Amino acid sequence: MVSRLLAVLVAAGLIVGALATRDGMDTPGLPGADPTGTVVCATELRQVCDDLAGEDLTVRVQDAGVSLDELATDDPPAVEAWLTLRPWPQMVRDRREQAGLDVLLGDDSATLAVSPLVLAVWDDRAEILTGACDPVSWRCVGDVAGGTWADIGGPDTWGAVKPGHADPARSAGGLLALHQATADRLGTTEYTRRDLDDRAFFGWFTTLQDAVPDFRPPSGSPLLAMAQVGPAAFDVVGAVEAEVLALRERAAERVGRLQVLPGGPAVTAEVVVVAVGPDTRVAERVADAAPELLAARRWDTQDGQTAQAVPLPGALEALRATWSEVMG
Amino acid sequence: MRRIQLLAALMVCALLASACNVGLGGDDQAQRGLDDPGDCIPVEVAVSSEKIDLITDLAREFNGSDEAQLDDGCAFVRPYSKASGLAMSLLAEGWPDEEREGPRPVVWSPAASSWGAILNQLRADEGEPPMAPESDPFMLTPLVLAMPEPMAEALGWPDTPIGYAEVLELSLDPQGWGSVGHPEWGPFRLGKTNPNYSTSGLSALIAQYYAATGKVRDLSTEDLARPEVVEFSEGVESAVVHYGDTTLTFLNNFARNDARGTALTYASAVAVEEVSLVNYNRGNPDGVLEPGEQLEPPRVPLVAVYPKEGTLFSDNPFIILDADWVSDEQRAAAAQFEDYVMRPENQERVLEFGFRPGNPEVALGEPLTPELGVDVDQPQTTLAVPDPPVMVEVLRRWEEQRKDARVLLAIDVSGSMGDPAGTTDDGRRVTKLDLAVQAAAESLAQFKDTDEVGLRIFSTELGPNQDADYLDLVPIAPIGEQRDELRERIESLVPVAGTPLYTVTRASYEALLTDYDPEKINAVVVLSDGRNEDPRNDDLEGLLAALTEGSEGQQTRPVRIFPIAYGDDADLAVLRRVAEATDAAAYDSSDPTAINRVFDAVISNF
Repeated sequence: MVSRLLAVLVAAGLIVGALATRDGMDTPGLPGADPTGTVVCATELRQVCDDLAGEDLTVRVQDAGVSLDELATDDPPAVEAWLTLRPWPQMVRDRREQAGLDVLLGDDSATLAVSPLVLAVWDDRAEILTGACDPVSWRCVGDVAGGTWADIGGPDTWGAVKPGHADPARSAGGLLALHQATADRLGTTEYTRRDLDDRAFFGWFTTLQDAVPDFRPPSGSPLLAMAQVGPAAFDVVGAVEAEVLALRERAAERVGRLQVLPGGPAVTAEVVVVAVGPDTRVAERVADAAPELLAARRWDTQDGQTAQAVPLPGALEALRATWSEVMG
Repeated sequence: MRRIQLLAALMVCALLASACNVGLGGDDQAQRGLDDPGDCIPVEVAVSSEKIDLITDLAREFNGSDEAQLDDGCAFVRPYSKASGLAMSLLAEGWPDEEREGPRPVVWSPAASSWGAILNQLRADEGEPPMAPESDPFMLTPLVLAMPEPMAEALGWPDTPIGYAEVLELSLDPQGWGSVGHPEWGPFRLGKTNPNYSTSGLSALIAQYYAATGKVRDLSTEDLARPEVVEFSEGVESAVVHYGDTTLTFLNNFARNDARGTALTYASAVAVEEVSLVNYNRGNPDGVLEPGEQLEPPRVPLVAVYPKEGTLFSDNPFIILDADWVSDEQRAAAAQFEDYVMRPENQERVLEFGFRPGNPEVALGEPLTPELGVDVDQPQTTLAVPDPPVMVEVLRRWEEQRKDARVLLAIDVSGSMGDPAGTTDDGRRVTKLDLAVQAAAESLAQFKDTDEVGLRIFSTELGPNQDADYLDLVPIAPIGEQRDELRERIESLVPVAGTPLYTVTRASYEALLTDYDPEKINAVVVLSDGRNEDPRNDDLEGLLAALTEGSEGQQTRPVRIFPIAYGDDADLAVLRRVAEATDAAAYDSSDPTAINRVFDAVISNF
């Protein structure tokens, strides 16, 4: 009887010991635990990053432009990884190199997911635009910007044509949308600063930007403003397709009338993660976990994605400069 | 110098805003059962008044629930009402007086995010970092022109777009509504609140200037100075019934006229938020449903006209303040409450209250329906909030262009006005009359030079033979010529005898009617601390009948009477009936020390 009791106690002790060991393996800081730290996410990836956040992984969502400014200084924030769109990490590297600063970012991860840049247009507006210029693209939008819907056969009540995109000085998606608009007008994705300075282009670009309502959208997202306010905010917005599709799913009643159109030449938003600093473990953990979460948010995570339509960092920096000049 | 002017103007704007809605703070929270957070992290939430009931309901459900649990503790949300402009000015000053203004907020939700932009501008001018970060709206409502349905239909609604251009055209047409086949409706009359007090009034004014320029963004000070813009704005202002501190005055008057069958001759359009129109059409003009109160939908509903030139949204941002008194724990707790508020099931509550939910996952439906005068596919254009310096110029220009007023200040100098009303900071005793005199004298600064103002006092036993019920101390004339004299005469007032309230009210009304000026807001301000004490005239019903008769009909010459019930003994019920008989509003200053802000609110009507 005593020996049986002893056996039970020993067995129980072994079980408790095993459980304690397993718990220890799950505990941050102990051997075998997931690496802990802070991930900064581009705003376009907010939903994915909310899913990533946990007890041992802190997530901070901010515009890529804010991260660019922070990471290009000699006093960068203490974060471990940056989940963003190409080519923003390269823009940080270029700026740091130009400033003579140490290498801070690791290499880009493999592409985690992709999504094309598109135009989101209210269906009734799309119909009128199609009548004005087929196919409907950024060039078409820019050509009719500055006028009213009545000018191109729409009703008086729609007022002025209101195109939109997120702030390209801050938003990764906004800058890509502007790049697509520019490429569509210039007829090439490989434009130079000289192309941007061309008088005809500059006039078209200025007219387009003058037509963008100065309506301060929440979280810098004109797409969300479309959902909240309707056509009163914007008629047509350039954005990442995954964002549009995800919004249409969760807010079908409010934005079910949004059509998705190509917008111009193929421009792709590519999600990557980079390590900030020498420790790559948090970035690797994010690279493992993010694809499934991205797929759930309508990003394309099929294997074999290759960078085909991501603009060069220099072109985007030049475009940002032109945009800033136009906006005064 | 320019910065100082900007600051001064905005602070005046904000301080004036305080008059219509003082903070409630701790006492209010106690009344709402939200005073004791226990061991939880308290999150003070300052919200504009129109959403205090909604946020309080949500806070009650949140506090103590699983959703309020944090990693190491719990959150306890304590909302209180604070006018947007006042909260902005207090935050700009670092919220100096918690005893008086309520606790320093962790979260601030003004009616519109433009208040946050102004706060940040003021702080930037002082070299301080922004305090109001960009924040998500959790509910929205557009500014609309609420029109009685038959009037809107006469203008082609809902098929024909209507905007400020049509308002201007009708306002300037000598035939008024006769120009569209309805002479029985008289002239076009516009209800618009004072932009120094009311977010609706400010939004309407901005929209009006945009309409005058044809722009939808980038309104500039140069635009405001263009002659055609000035002319447009003056034309619209010429149609104004009166101004005031709150749109509720207009909606309550609409409701009362609707009950009498005279809604179409009270006002033709009122600039209000869509949510207010929904409440009106539900039969709840003030938006507050008291226990046992029955909803009585109007006979003539109002419909929302979304100005074709565009409009502004009140976007109700949820701002977790970047203030040094906000701890990281409070920030986390506030974020948890924000998540809670944004949940679809709680955003359904937002919709029930008549706002458009900030969470787009919630579809727009009841009560935002055509049956209640709403078209959720409107508006079609959102106007940009001008930069702060332009907003200051907008307000300055309005002071020049607003409709002139012709006002008789009738001040009670009966014996009871000599009753003590407290002591000053330096221990000096003051009477009710002392406080009233001070408030009246200070209010004179709010009139523009071309306003015509006169001073009448009333009491029994006045005059050389002690047989007059009132005396005109300063005749009605442009105040620019007699501001100092008015101030001196007001400051020399002394208490006398009884209160001939009915006699002086009727006599003042008739005096204004005799020299009625259709180009001006014709009004009497009656300040009284007592009941009618005149055995020679106690005919209240006769007085009310005369006032009502003069206020009805398409050819009416409206003289508004704005009474102030001053002190505990004032007959607020009677004074309210007097105000209602002339489609005006009564003001309650039962606390004599509140007379300054009450006087400000009264003068905001002009």
